[in-house]
Amino acid sequence: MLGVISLALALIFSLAAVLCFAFPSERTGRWGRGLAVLSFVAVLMASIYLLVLIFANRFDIAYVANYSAIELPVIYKVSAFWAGQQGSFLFWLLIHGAAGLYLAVKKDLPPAGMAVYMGLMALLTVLVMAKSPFVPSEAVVQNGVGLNPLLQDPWMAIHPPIIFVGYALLAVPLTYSAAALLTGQKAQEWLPAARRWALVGWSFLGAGIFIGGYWAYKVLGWGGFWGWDPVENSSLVPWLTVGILIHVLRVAQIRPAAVAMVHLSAIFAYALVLYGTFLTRSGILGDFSVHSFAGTSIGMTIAVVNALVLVAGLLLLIVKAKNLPQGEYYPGYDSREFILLLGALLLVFISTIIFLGMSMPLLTQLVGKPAAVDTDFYVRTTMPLAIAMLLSAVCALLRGYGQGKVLAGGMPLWGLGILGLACGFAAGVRQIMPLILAAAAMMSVGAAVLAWRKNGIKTGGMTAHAGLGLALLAMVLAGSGSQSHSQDMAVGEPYDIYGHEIVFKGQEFAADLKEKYYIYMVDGQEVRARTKLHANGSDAAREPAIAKGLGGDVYIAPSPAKGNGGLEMVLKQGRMDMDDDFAYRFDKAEIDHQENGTLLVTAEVAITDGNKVEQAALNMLANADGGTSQPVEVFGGQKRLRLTGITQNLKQIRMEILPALTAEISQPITTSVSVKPCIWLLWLGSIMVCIGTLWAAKR
Amino acid sequence: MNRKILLGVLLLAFVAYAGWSFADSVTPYVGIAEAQKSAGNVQVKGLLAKNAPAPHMEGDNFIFTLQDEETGETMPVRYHGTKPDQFDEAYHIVAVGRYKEGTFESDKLLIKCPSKYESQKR
Repeated sequence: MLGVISLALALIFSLAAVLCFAFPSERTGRWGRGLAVLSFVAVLMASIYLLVLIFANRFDIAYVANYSAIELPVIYKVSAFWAGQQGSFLFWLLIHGAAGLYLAVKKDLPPAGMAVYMGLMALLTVLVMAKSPFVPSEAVVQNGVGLNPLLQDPWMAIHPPIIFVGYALLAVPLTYSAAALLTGQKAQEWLPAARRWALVGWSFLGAGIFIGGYWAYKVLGWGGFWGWDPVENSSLVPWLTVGILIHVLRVAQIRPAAVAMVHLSAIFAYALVLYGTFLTRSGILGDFSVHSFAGTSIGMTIAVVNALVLVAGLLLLIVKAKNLPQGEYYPGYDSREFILLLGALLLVFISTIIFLGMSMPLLTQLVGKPAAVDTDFYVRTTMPLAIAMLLSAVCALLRGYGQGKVLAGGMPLWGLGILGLACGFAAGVRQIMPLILAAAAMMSVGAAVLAWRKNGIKTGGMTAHAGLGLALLAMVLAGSGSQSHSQDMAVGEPYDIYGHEIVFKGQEFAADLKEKYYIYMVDGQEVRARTKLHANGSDAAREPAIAKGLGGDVYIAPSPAKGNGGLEMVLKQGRMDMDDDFAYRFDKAEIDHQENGTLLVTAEVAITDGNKVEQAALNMLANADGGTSQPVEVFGGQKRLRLTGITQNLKQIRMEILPALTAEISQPITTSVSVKPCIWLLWLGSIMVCIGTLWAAKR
Repeated sequence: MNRKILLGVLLLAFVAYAGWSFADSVTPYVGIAEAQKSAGNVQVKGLLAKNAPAPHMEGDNFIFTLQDEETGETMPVRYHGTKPDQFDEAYHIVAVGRYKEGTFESDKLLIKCPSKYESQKR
């Protein structure tokens, strides 16, 4: 209740603030700023309340029941705040509100801009209320579902909030642009501030994307860091668009005529943030994405908000277009201005390709059968454009603003290009396009450093540009240069794979039986692949083992057979059934109603090896959602039995027969081994992009 | 004027490039019956067939049988890769590839598993 009231207050306050700022005067300005502060406080209250609900294990609230659980560690209880759609929207709103608080206190933005900003806040509040995290559970829930074990990773805990900080901050450049259009503010007055906000937002969104990629590499075990999934693309496209914004902002600071492009890219950047949210949260792409989202009614609401922002922004731009500064965009083709704009156009092309690719199911549905593009499409199609973009970056970096001002000659760069080519070749890349990309990436690193030494670019910009070059080089080396091989590995046998000696040492269970590890020796270095286990002992999340090295990673993903060599058996009461070693008979079962509403099912099973008979009582705790059970050892641990199901009349059970723990530990295992040359360069480059961009945002 | 011609040429070149790339790689979503008839790349969504040989590796390929959820038809799939990690927990499988001589040759599998945006049964 408190949550809903806080959200309603936030909506009222932000709408009232819009009214105040819409009729600017000394007094309404004060009122408006006060209301902006109050609306943030209201959202803060709602957020604190959600955290309190999570920590109090209030499973009568559907959101808490779906994303938290009693036994969840503290860090993941905090991250449950943004683990689900409803909570992540609230977090987005919280950051939007916090930035609004800053803007209200700093008084940088004219009243018209504050009105637009608070209007966006009201729209976001409506989104949160339409899909509220405070809705009560439909049924009585004893314990929450908890967080998907794959997502219980520190990187995944911080990935969503960082993305959403980026999303939220991108509203500020849009607001500066709208304010300038509404009031006719001079470009030089607002461009620096808009650029700083865009840089910070870009850095956060980029960091979020990179962290997501790193998590996918470290946890998911398929060996990649980017899958071109709609969910990933929907954050990449706004990131690329803000990349355009940052560069045209720079041109507009020198050539005011380019301000029109700033407006256009600011509007599109934010509209694309909303579009991505719509695409991924509406369930429309349910059949096309590996992230399965439940289709929800919120899709329409987001679509309307999205259309509203885009249409209103573009209309405003068209109406006010005649007031915009006129003049030349660039003095000639041999100027940094021209090449920057050319590079921005190439980025527009890349974004358009990805945008159309991820929207393809939606677009084709309008005209007929839904269709999608395969992921190779993105790589194939964007690679030539990326090469052209890198080369234009090289040319732009080597030139100054104004016609024909060459800062440094490009001769040394050819050497670097050949080095990039050689690195690619050494990593095993043989296709021509990736090799050229590697060369262009190395040249862009060199150009950034050259330009920095000639004062053509500041330290932040140099770091970010060099980082991007290194990251793209690493994508070629570790992506196109990656090789993969599947091997059945017996315990203790050395295998020579891609020049590495790899030995599977067997499995080891953690003391609390919540995890187990597949242990490998790679060239004498021990690495462990962790598998998180469900309470009943089955695999919950399987992570790879990674042997890191300067030359690259050896990436090992164990792929055990289903049930770890176990056998499932259905037994009718009184009937005998056999596996290779023993015979089993189900005698009787009973059900005990527990105080907390769960059922304790006990089934008695007799086991014999032909000579000796043993009795075992198998237990299963059942509730409305299903059951959990522990394996029971029989015949001195030679087999482990686990009850997995029972019919309602108690006449038939289903049971899993697992081999002895010692046998399971030393089973041979199918293992996928791949090498990822120089992948550490990707992480280094990514960090450089984010840090460099933040550095550039400094006054 | 010069500027507009340049922009026009660049845009035209891009439209041609994008159009050609898309025409080359858009893969329609079809059922099993249609997948068997179609000559090009398609995406087929289905479930893992229960009454069929167990999924297994053959060399560097992963073999399983896909079943159409609506019609119940089945089709063997040869995936050019190792078994995807979440294969056992999948409730839907989308195979991308083309039908060739009785087998669906697939280069890509989408495994649809419960994600963070959907409650997961334990």
